[in-house]
Parts: sequence; structure tokens; C-alpha cells
Amino acid sequence: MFHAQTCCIEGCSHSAVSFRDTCFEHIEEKEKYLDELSIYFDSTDIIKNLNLTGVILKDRDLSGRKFYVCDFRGSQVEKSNLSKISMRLCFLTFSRFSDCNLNELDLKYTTWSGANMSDCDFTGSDLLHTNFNGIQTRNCSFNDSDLYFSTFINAKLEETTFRDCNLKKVNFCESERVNVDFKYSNYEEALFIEETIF
Amino acid sequence: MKLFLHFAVLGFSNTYLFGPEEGGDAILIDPGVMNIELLNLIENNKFYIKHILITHNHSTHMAGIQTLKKIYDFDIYSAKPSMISGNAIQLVDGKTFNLNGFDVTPISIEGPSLDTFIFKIKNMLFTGDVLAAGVIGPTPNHQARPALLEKIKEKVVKMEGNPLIFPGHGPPSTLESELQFNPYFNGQRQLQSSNH
Repeated sequence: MFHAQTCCIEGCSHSAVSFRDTCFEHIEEKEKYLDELSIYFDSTDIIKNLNLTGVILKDRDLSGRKFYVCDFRGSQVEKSNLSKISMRLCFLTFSRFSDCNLNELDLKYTTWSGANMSDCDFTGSDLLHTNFNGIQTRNCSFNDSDLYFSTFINAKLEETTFRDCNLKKVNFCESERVNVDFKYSNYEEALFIEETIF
Repeated sequence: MKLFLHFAVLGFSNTYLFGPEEGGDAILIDPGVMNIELLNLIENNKFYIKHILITHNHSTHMAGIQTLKKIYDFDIYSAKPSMISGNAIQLVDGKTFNLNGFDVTPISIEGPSLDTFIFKIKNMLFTGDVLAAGVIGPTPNHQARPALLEKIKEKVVKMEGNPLIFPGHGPPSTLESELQFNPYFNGQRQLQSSNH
């Protein structure tokens, strides 16, 4: 992530993904690339410093992987199993997730800002110190999760549940909430109006 | 290169540690505390703290220095050498210097304190108390707040390359995200200068 190169295709300003000199869009054999990634993921416990911006994943199983300082900005993930994934200092801004299993995630110091999520299930996750500002959710569940010190500023949350969650120091300022359920959660310890936070 | 974030519960502040993949001389930014967890993080990665960058003189961002001094021999870079009980190398706004092969550009932004700097290293921006995910930093009084916002707009908002933002408190972000979702940049919150 710290040595991002630009796609070698003339006129393209997107970042080149890891193991290639082009962006994901300009990879000719995308499935082959994704299969190579799967082999790489299986070969190591910790996946780090990868640039996977704009990657499109469908029907993939990445469960249990540990990602460290990886860049998934603008990626699209559909019908995939990402349960029990661990992430530290990863960036998933403006990514899209639909119909994904995101149970029991272990996230810290990551950014999902601007992500669009539909029919995703984060149940039983630790989502600590994570940036969810500006996310758009529809029919998602964060039930039974610890969201300590995470932020949902300007998030648009629809048909989304936060049942039995730890919401201490979670920032929901400027968020729009339609049919959002905070039952059994300590929402009185969350922030809904701006105040001095630190 | 390796980058780590160490969270200090005292002050809810972030310390950043980065150094070479294979170990060696490393850089610490805003060591708000020095505890066994940070020590293990340093030692387990075979780092030696050679340089410390301080964004501003709040204790939650520099209280760990005294203990670190007993273990490592390092240079300190800050706005005011006198703020550290010892020598520090004074930062100059916009004057880039090189640490361990990385170009570090200090950018002066008065706001959280009169001696606040943020640091640009490659595509990373270490913003201390100036800017965090969805918020801007605290100021000593309300009158200083519009001035802080103007400084951020002048020196940060126009940066190219969509830098990654690593704040002194809270989770990381990107400049693109802040421009869209931070209420102080997207027009949701207005700060008025007060004239006396």
C-alpha cells in the first residue's frame, strides 16, 4: 500500500493492483488473477501491504484470513464469505458489499467510509475504532457486536439492526436512520449530537 | 515498510510506529504513553526508535518520551525544542527532511495549540489533533475554531493524491472521505469568525 504504482495503461490513473502492473479493470484474465490471489491467501497467515483497489469478488470464500495494511478501496464484493476475517489498518473506502457473510469480524483501525452495503450480516463482530462514516446500509445486521469508538458520521442506515451491541463512544452524528433497531444496546453511551469528543 | 498503530487508553490517543520490513531504525509519532505493549511492538519487530515526531505539546501525545529516553537514543522533532525537557530539532513549516529514507514534510497548522504541526510522509498524513474522521480538532476557545478550519482548507484540502489520514485520535480516514462526509467540509456545519 505504501508503494502504489499507477496502472501502466496509457491514460489510466488508477492504482495498479498487487502482482500486476495494471489496475484491476485492465487485467485481461480477471478470474485467473483472482485464483492466483486465492492461492496466495492460502499460503500465508497474515496478508499484508496488498493493493487490491477496485477488485471485484463474487462467490469467494476469504473466511478466517488476516489482513494488515491492505488497500481495498473501491472494491466490490458479492455473495462472498468473509466471516472471521481480521483487519488492521485496512482501507475499504467506497467499496460495495452485497449479500455477504461478515460474521465475527475482528476489525481495528480500519476505514469503510463511504461503503455501500446491502444484505450483509456483521453479527457477533468486534468493530473497534473503525471508520464507517458515510456508509449506506440496507437490510444489514450488526447485532451482538462491539462497536467501541467507531464512527458512523453521515451514515445512511436503513433497515439495519444494532441489537445487543456495545455502542460506547460510537459517533452517529449527522447520520440518517430509518427503521434502525438499537434494542438491548447501550445507545445512551453513543453520540448523536456533536460535543467535544477529545 | 511496516506501520503500526498503538492505542493509549489514557487520553484515547494514537501512537504510530513505522520502520523497515526487516527491522532496524524506526520512527514514532506522538508517543502518548510508553507501556509494555508498545515496547513489545517495537522489540518484536526488531525496531530501534531513532526518531520521534511530535505534532503538538499535549501530554496525551508526548508523555511517553521520558520513559522512551531510558531505552532508546533518538532525535525528537517538534515545533518548540523547549517543550521537551531536553533538546529537540525545531520543525520548519514546509521544509522537508529525510528520516530513514523517507521524506517528511512538516506542515504548520495552528489550532489545537499554537505549535501544532502535521506530517506528510509519502501518501500518509499524520494529523495529530488537527483532523480526525468526521471531525476537526479541539481548539483552546471557540474563536480559534474558524481559523483552524480555514488553515485546514488552505493546507490540506487541496492536497493531491487523496492522502491517507492517520489522526491522533480515532480511526484512520482518507482525504476524499473527509471532503464528502466531514460536516465541516461538506457544508453541514458552519463556523463563523467572531469580530471584536
